[in-house]
Amino acid sequence: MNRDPYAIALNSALTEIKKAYPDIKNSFIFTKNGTIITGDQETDEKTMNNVLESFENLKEKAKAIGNLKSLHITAKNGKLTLSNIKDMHLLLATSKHADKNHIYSITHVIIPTILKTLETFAPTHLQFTPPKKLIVDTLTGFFAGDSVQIDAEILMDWTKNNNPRARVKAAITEEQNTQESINQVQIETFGGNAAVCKVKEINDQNLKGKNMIRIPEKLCKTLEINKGDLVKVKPAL
Amino acid sequence: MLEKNSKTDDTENDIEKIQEKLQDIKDQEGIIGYILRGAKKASIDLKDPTKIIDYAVLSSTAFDAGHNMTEALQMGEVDTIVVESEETKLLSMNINNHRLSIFMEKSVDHNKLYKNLK
Repeated sequence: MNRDPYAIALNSALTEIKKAYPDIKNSFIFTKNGTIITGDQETDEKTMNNVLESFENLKEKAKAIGNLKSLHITAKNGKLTLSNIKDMHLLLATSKHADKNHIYSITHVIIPTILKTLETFAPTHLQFTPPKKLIVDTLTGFFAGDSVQIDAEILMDWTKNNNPRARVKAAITEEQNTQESINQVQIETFGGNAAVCKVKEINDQNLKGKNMIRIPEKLCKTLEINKGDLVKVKPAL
Repeated sequence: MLEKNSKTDDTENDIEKIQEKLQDIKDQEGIIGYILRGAKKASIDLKDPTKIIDYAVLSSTAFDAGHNMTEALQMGEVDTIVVESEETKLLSMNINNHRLSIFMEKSVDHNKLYKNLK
């Protein structure tokens, strides 16, 4: 799940909404391209992914009647509402007798207002950088240092997509947008360990373009990963 | 055996009644058509026959997605599914072991249809 300030703010919003409306059992938000931004604390990621997979399939087939705007399911023990909010989807699973007006105010007033407010603070926040899955290669030896190494192309790609502040600043000051390079990345293992560390370009010509991340041996031990494992990597804000 | 035959007759009568209701519904303003699918046969009545395959696939996917989503969220059996696009919507529901999907314009009151059919 996304851990940037925007996602954290939305997570807090969902948590507070759930406190205010106890009829809400599960809630989470994901982008139109299927990236989960955040969810309430009681809904695990596996559940969200299962729901998301079914929804994406339905969304695809629903093109037969146009672009899917909303989905409502009434079940024996509850109701599920999936709404389109700007370029995101909000899922709410509630008890069967949840007040329709409450659900409406959450999907049509509260969450859109929060999104709009967040947008005011960071106008280009919606360009989420999905984590890249990279293969681990261990860096050993005296000169291993404490930085990880990633393909220059990936770093360039992130620099283009992940520098909203520089673009906003450039727009305000009318100066040329000098793209700041990515200095740090967040590494997350599939075992749930994470670390933020400095990043450099891969310097070994033979390892370029192979979707690899070279990680110092010491850090591999800390993260409990080995050569050949997959890790999720994204720029650290 | 007699009891089993009687139950089968009841179900067949129920389905006939539903089909009669569907005949009335399909003539209502804004109704695009319906798909009623049982274990052995299906009735399809759509205004635009070229859309039969796409609508049948959507209907089937809606039931599967509804089942998977409610199962993941531990919500129990699905009662109704409503899928809305900009101008069209789909109401899917189970009736007497038959899967019914009604396609309609967005302005149609699907709750009214549901009450009529249940």
